[in-house]
Amino acid sequence: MAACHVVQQPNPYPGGKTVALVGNPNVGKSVLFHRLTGQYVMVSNYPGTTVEVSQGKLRKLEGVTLIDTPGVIGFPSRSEDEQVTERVLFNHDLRTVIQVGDAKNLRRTLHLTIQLAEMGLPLILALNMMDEARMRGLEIRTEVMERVFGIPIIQTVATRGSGIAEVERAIQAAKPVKLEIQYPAAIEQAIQKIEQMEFDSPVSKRAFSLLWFGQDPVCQKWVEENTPKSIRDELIKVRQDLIEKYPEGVDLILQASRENFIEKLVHDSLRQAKSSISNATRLGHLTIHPVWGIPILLAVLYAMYWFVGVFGAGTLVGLLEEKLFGELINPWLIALSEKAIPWEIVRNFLVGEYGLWTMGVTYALALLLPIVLTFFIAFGILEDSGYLPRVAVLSNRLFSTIGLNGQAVLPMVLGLGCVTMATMTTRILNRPRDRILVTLLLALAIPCSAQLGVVLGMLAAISFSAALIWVGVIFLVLMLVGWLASKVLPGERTPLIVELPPLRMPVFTNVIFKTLARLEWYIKEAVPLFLLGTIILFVLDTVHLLPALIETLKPVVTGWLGLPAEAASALLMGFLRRDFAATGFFVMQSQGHLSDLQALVSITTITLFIPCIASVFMMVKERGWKIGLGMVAFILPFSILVGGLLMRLLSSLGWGS
Amino acid sequence: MFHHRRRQRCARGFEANNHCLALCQVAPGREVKIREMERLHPPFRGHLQAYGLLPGRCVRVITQEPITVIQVEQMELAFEKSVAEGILVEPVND
Ligand SMILES: Nc1nc2c(ncn2[C@@H]2O[C@H](COP(=O)(O)OP(=O)(O)OP(=O)(O)O)[C@@H](O)[C@H]2O)c(=O)[nH]1
Ligand SMILES: [Mg+2]
Repeated sequence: MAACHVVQQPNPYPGGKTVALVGNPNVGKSVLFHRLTGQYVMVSNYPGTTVEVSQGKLRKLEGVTLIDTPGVIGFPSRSEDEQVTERVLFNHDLRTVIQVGDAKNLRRTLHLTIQLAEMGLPLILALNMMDEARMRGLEIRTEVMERVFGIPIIQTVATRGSGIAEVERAIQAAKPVKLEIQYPAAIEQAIQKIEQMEFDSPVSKRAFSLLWFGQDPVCQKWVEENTPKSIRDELIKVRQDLIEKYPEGVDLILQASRENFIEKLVHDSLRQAKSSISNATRLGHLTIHPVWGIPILLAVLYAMYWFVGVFGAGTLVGLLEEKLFGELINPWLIALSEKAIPWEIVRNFLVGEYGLWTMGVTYALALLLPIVLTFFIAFGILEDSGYLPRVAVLSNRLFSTIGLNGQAVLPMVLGLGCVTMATMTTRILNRPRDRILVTLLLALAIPCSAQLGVVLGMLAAISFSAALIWVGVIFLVLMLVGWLASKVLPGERTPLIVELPPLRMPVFTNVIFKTLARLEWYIKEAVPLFLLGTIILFVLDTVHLLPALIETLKPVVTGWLGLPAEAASALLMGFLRRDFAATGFFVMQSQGHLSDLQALVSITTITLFIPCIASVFMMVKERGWKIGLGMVAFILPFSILVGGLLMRLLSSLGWGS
Repeated sequence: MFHHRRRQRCARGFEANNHCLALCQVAPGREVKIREMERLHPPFRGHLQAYGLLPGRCVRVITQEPITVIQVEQMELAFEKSVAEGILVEPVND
């Protein structure tokens, strides 16, 4: 029988400087973070939005830092993002932990509450999404739970700001709890043995023991780094004895005890009135329907294509680049500089062929900004709707042919926004093998927003068959390389297990915030690189090295890829950012310097090129320098190889002539 | 050993024995109670249990195609057939 007692202790860190938000994935931690600090962090409607901690200053508590953490399904942690959160609990002297829970999934929330309370942390529980719980006819009474856990429980609706003031008050008053659920005797004895050992545990010894029995990776690492061998051997022995006693898994036993404990609590605290199925739920089911799912997916893709490719890359770019920059600003600036600047070299540096303004700023602001803007808006709406995890279900079979499961679709789709960020999102994948595979495919074959927009614009200017060929080649490469890599990498495929969040109406302000945050990032990260690239080109051109370089690259650019020799300078910029190269081709195409075949070959090659310098750094950071640089060494020649092969195949078929 | 074989038979021949069937065999719309998950590969079992898929819980099957989707509390959880095969359930009468 699960019994428990609660001991309240004085807060060991009353003057502590950090408070952490912890909870299951997709329950509103980041929304609450925004409410409590005023600092925006990414919020989306799928599990795995936050994969790294963010810090901000609490509004109502001077000098105290709030940490937003990635969601945890439960401990022991399984994926890298969960481990990030666990390390926060292990390594920070936390003044308070705010658990954010989904009120409509009370049992699930309480499983985590138990684990956090066992750790002996000063805890409060924010039962969020009360609006959705009420809509579904759930009525929650918190008194019994508050008494049993000895913690304040506050009902909140983070998106509307209700309950926030109460959370702020509770943060100040929080005291550590020591919840003890009774586990079977053998486990209790093992815990006692560990409690008698002499070492300083990062969380309560009881919680530590339970994590240790479950072979938690963070706990494992902590033991390796912080305990002498004698203690370690003892710990291992205690665990080994337990594992022999419970061959079906110690975790199963722990979970069963907790479930038993929770069942009684929920019985006293939760009433379910009526339960009717809402329209959003019905639509949600339709989106994964074996028949209706596909047309819905195609409609969503088409809407994206129309908004970004036709409206953004066509209409908006036309207005900005041709009308505003091409006819007004740039001619005016050129005329002005001719009058005001006597030195030709300075004039060229600013408004020449490789001018800082005429190339760098014009590319970044007139061509790419409208494209990324429309993309970010469309993407933000898609993210907030909750549709993306459903694409994981639809695409699961496809991914299984390359040894992955549908979960991989999330980082890949995010890669369409920004490959660098998406590389970090591979943390949500459970196994190293999957993370490596997805990182490679992301770097190789997923075009990022800016580039995608340019590519769509170029394809629209050629023909629909060109678009089909481009999609087909990228898709084939994705499948082929994925298939080969999955054969080379050891390990088996894991089946898909994924949570489907409810479909929600996107929150307008969130889409705006998110778009602005991404634009800011784009301007900070991409624009300086554009300027740098322009300066490099200008210098190379001025010292007459560029013609020599172009000449050197001619065998590859002209001989193998069949492009005009000048395309080399665009290709060179691909080393900084491939969207820069794509923009170069875009300009060449619109000036009539590229035939249809050449345009198609150039964009296919550049799509398969390394994404950008930042992404290479991220690959090295997440995967280690060996794997990271190994991937770069593969991708560079491979992209050129595919481009040349495509050129030969298409011209032998007489395509485009 | 015997134990194991008996369980497998139970999973396949659910029509003969209406008290025990594999989750992948349950028709959409029906509510069932989880009986045991011991046949599942431990990491997958741990993953599902962290979502609250525990023996004794009642869940509702939403669909079986293209993969199994069930409702646990108010959450929808999707997983492949190969996983659903390893979960034994019993019908809930209501
Ligand atoms: N209806 C409703 N939706 C909410 C509430 N709080 C958050 N949401 C929505 O829930 C989704 C997830 O919110 P996030 O703040 O990103 O959740 P998170 O816990 O940070 O998620 P991860 O970082 O993925 O673990 C978003 O679509 C929010 O708009 C709430 O109180 N009511
Ligand atoms: Mg978050």
